[in-house]
Amino acid sequence: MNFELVRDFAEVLDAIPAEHPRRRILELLDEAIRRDVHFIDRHPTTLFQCLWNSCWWYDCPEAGKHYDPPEGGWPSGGPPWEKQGLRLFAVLEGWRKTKGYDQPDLVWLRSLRPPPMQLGTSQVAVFQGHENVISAIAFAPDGKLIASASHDRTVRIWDAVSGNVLAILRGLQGMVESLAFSADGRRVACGSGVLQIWDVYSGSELQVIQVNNRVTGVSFSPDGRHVTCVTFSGRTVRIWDALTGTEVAAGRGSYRNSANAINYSPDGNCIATGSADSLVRILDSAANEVRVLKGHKNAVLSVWFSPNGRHLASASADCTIRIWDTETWNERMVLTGHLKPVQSAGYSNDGTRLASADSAGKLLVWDTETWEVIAIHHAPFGYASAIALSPDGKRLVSASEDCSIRIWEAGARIEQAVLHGHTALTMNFAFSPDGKHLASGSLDKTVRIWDTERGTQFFVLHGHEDSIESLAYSPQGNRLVSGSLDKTLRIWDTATGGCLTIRNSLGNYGQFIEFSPDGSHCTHTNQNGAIGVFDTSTWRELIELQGSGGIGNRVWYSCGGRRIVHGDRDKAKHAWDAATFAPLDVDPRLDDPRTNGSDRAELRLRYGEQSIEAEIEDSITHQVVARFADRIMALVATPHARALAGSYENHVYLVAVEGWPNGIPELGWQP
Amino acid sequence: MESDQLTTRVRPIIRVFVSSTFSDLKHERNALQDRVWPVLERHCQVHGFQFQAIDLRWGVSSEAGLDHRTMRICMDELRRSQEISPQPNFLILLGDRYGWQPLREEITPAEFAALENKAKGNEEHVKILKAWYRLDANAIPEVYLLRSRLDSPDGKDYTRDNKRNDTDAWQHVQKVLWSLVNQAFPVSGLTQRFDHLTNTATLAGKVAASLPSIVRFQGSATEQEIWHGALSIADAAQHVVAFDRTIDNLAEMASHPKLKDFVNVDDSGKINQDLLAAVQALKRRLHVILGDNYIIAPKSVSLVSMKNANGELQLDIAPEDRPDLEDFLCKQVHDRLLPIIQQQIDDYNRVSETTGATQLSAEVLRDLRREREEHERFAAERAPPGVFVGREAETAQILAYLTSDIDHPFVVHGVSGSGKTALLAYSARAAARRGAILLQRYLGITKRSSDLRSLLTDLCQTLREQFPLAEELPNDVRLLEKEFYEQLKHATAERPIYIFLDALDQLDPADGAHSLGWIRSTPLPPHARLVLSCLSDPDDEVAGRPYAILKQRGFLTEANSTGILELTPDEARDLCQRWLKRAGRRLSDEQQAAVDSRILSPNDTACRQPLYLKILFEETRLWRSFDLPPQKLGTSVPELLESLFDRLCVPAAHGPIVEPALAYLVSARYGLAETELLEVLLCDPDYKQKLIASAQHALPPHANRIPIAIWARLRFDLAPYLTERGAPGGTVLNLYHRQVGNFVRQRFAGDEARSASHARLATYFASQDYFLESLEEQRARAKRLPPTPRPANIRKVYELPWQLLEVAKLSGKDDPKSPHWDAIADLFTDLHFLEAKTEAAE
Repeated sequence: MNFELVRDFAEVLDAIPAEHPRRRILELLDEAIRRDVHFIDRHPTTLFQCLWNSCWWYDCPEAGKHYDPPEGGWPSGGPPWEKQGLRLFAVLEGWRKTKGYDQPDLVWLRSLRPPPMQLGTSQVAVFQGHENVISAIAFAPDGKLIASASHDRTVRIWDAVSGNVLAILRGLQGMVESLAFSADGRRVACGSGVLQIWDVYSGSELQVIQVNNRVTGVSFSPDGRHVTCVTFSGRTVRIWDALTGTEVAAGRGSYRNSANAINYSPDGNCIATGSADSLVRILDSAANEVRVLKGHKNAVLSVWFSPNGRHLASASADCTIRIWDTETWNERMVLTGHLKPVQSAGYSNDGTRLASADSAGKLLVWDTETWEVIAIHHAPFGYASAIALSPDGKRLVSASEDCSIRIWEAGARIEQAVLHGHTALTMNFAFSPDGKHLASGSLDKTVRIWDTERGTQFFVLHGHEDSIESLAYSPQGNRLVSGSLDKTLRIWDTATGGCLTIRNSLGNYGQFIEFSPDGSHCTHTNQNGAIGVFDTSTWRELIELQGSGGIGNRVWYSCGGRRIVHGDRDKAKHAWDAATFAPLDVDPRLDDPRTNGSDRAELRLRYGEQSIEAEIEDSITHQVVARFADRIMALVATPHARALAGSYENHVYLVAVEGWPNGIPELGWQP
Repeated sequence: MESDQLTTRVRPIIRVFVSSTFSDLKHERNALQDRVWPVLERHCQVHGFQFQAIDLRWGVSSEAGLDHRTMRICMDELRRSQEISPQPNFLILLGDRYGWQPLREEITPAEFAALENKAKGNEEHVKILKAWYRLDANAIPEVYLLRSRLDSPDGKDYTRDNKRNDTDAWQHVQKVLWSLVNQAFPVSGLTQRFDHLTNTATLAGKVAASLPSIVRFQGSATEQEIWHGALSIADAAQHVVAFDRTIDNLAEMASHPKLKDFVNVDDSGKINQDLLAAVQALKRRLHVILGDNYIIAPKSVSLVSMKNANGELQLDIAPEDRPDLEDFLCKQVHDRLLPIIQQQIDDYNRVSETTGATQLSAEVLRDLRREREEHERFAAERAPPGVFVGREAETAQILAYLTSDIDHPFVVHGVSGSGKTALLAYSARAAARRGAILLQRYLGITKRSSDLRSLLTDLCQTLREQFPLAEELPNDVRLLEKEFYEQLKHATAERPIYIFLDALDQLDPADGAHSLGWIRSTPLPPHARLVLSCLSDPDDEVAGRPYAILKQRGFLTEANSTGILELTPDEARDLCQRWLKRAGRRLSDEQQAAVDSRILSPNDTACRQPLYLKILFEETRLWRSFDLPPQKLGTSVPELLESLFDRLCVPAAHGPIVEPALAYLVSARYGLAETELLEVLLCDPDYKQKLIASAQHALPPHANRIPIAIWARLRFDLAPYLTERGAPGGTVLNLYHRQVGNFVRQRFAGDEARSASHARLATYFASQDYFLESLEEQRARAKRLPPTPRPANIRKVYELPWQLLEVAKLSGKDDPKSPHWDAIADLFTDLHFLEAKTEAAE
């Protein structure tokens, strides 16, 4: 009854005096519960774990080692971990003692790095449920509902306050790329391969309009009678009768490139579109083009009329927002607060606020009187694909690439601390043989080495010129080899973080690096099945063997290092003598990948049915051991699976398995 | 009160009435209290049930004995156990003592004649008989009632002296009355009492009225209970458990002064052989009937004489015999009751296998059925067939509306207590016809009808039973509302849909329920009709809001609304008469005149409101023909309640329990389960002190609740004003009707008292465990993967935060330094609370 608990908190926070010394603690706990409310509701035993992972890290002394100050510095009073008085982490420490006494054998996952998003920011809530990228998002005109469209081929209708999913519109034809509410809030139009109109309340489909193209933008006329759209490769704006589905007008073909956005003016007299040719076009209500607005230097991604119809805002990949006077169609203002392409923008109902989001996840709220930025929010994981302001302008909703919807206090200017670490998707990990260090490789071309006990960063290894594809520690732990798409292997000294040597590699995707158990050789393979074997004393390539191609193929050593085996996750396919490199017959018993190499870890990752969370299961019994609220990708485990590492976009998770029983047989495990 | 014995379980409560003599079996009862009841309570709680053991021997206060109501209360409690808990409901403990034989409180005219016959010729005896057994002509049929000892016929004291001994005056009266009884119904008659019974007790249900006179006069209290609880119960062998213990050295102790604690003795202090034979015959009889469930102690026990701390000579079971005996008893009782209870739990939770095409899960269908039955029962209680009076025009108007073309809701409005509920219940019954889908919901009487979201969920799901939908049921109020109106479109002339929603003002204001946006202004689909009722009280801003809004929105037109007023004088009189008749009562002319002076008075319209009449009836049904009508009969509901509670509060009635018990009931979030009330009362130091001062028997050694007998007496008198309803975590008791609740709140729970009650309730719930599993069980659970939620104490996680918040709001106000706010912060940072609330499952 997690939602009941949220209700209790709301009643307490309503009543407790503002000056009560622990009010702040209660507010933070409330925020932490609401952040994971859907997950905890599905897995009620994870409350403690979830709260630990968000609350303990909020103000524990170690948090200071992980965060950079926000833009504009720490607020007065310093960062949370320097504040005086009762600290949240102390509460959590107390709980941990209680928990350790009550249920010493409870298995739970303790994050060894702070969450990407601190508590106490302007983020109000997180809605989870979509299973693929969210492409469009809109508030219903009364502000009570939020509709979101996703590449998972659904549109979800959410209660804007509680986050409950009220309806899931299924049966959509393809990835939904655009979405619009009718002015009365009763219908929603979604554009995918076709244009569909739904009744919001019953969830029933009212119209299906064949467009024969990807619908990239859709808008209802203010009177609700017409619906209009632009498409990816169509050359025109098309308008249909929203009730009958018959086409009433199609504009002249004028787009040289795809059009991205469309919006009716509040009086319904004209339609604005934005397109990849960097132009804004103004059409009359019969879709006859009347004007072309030039100014943007790159594709126009979003167009929006102000509620009083006097202005038009256009957001562009040239990182600017331009405000046009709708009387003269002159450019009135260029807003330059974004450093990345501006994906989306929208007005509040009273027209006093404009919100914009860029592909780096920066959300800005503008005062439309002074055109000053009144609030900045940073959506985690970058790339805010869609944004909407609530009609009252108090809430901002953004869609993140992690398939979540995040609700923000639009006017709050609470700067957010930023975690040290990778800046792009991180997919490769290796634990040092003693489990004390973790290396992570990222699309940001860097390799980072982390202290697995404290979660802090040791080194940043710069040098590669393309994303990191594979990593391996030598058995002695003194060397780290990284393979990159830049077609080089770099060999690093793990004590100093210095690059010892660079070797040409096989490059390509699907790289995999493996040391022989004694450390004398290092093999390197790719998805074509070519295998390079290096002598690790000289880092000379000794031979190139040929296995079979395929994604997920890898190399391992069997028989204590006497055989080199190549194959996939389940099966050995080729074998060679490790000393002479003479081909051998595969012995399924000796060379079984499941008893050799890294898959022998006792814990394995599995995605929950809702796929927004991770389940950790025992790889032998297939029992679920514990659950984690975030979708960890690319999980690796230290020997004996005491700790796990994974990533969630650019955020590296280090997770300790607490309570996992001792006494698991020793396995010759190699990262 | 008048309901027939139910055969199916309606509530998840197991209630076992413990019947035994007191002094000789106290160790056994203590052992059960300490070792068996807690285990069964916990077992039931884990499965969403409540277990209550009803042991009335404790706490029968001296006052209850004085007005001869002990047996009446016992029988009422037994009847309630049987109603609530079809199986198991009765446990018997028997030793060698036949037990206390009460003077019969109520006798028939024929029995009176028999006694009178024996008194003939002795003027004093006749005088005493006639002074103490008086004809109550108000009862139908007439009876003679034993006069209360508090109501002296001649000014002498018939109660007790300072040493708590009966006064000589009473001893004399008692002796005379017993001598008459013994002549008319000699104790030797007991030997033939089972002769007319066959071996398989076929008198089921019939015995209550026709207990043989010999048992009525000479039967011990325990035996009378056993007749009602076992001998006359058809399925007794399936669930009644009896325990039989024998003492082997009674003869050796024949001259011991305390022998009477273990066996009935005659005037000379010798074993009363007639009564010893009576108890042995009773045991044999029970053995035949109960078969395997008749447990005989494997070994007889011995009595030993000893001195207590004060040097007084005592008689008790030999200490060396007790452990084995108690172990055996506890194990046997536990092992026999548990499977019966488990079977009941399984049956209650069982879901029918055929769900058909409704697409609703079997559990949902079961819950829908329970909800529907709850409302149907409530309707039958509020407008019982045959006692609904007047309202012909209103009923006709509602029935006409249902088949008319009026496509807007019909609204019944009236002041509090004007009988809106009864009118809806009555017209819903009249409207029921073949083919029609009729849903009646009396808002607020169940949890599912208390807030808009649950109500719409219930209505939509119920309609889905008829008109299945594939999509998942939405959980947003607006989408539920949408579905509700969509479902109404399924109505046809052959299959109309009638929805009756009583008391809109009782809905929780959450989700905008009171602003009535969910009652649409758009026309209802053809053949779908909505009948609503609401309070029309302009002075009550909150409760009167639905009425004000409906009025403003133009719903209250002549065609589709009716404001109900008080009854006409004739109707009012008729209604009172019907109620009385149904209760088997009538009034003397003088009493009727007093009533008439109220209900026929042209000015006192308030006295013809049905609620006033109902409360008046509840009072008048207690009037015996020899009672004078009260000097001043209240002219309004609060005045009637005032005098009712004045009467209940006097020491001779219920004394100190009334105020705290009612204050706790109205201070709870949803109400209190009966055991909770008994426990929290014992935690109340003020009350506990008064209790100890007045109790006849000492509290059992590890008592954690007050003796139920004390509460049972009050409950008996409050029955018309109490209601039981489902709440999160169990069934709770609360006051019925807004006006009664408001009155009680004002009288017993003013701000200060309320704050104290909330604080005590908070302390009480705080002292309970959060989880219904031992720490060892929790640890074992943590080892099993994947982790599963622990069974949590739902009552606690719902009541505790609410109680603490009420205290903080009342006492802490906006003072950030108040310890009450610290208590809130403590609770909401307590991991156990947070986890229990999260892991709790409905």
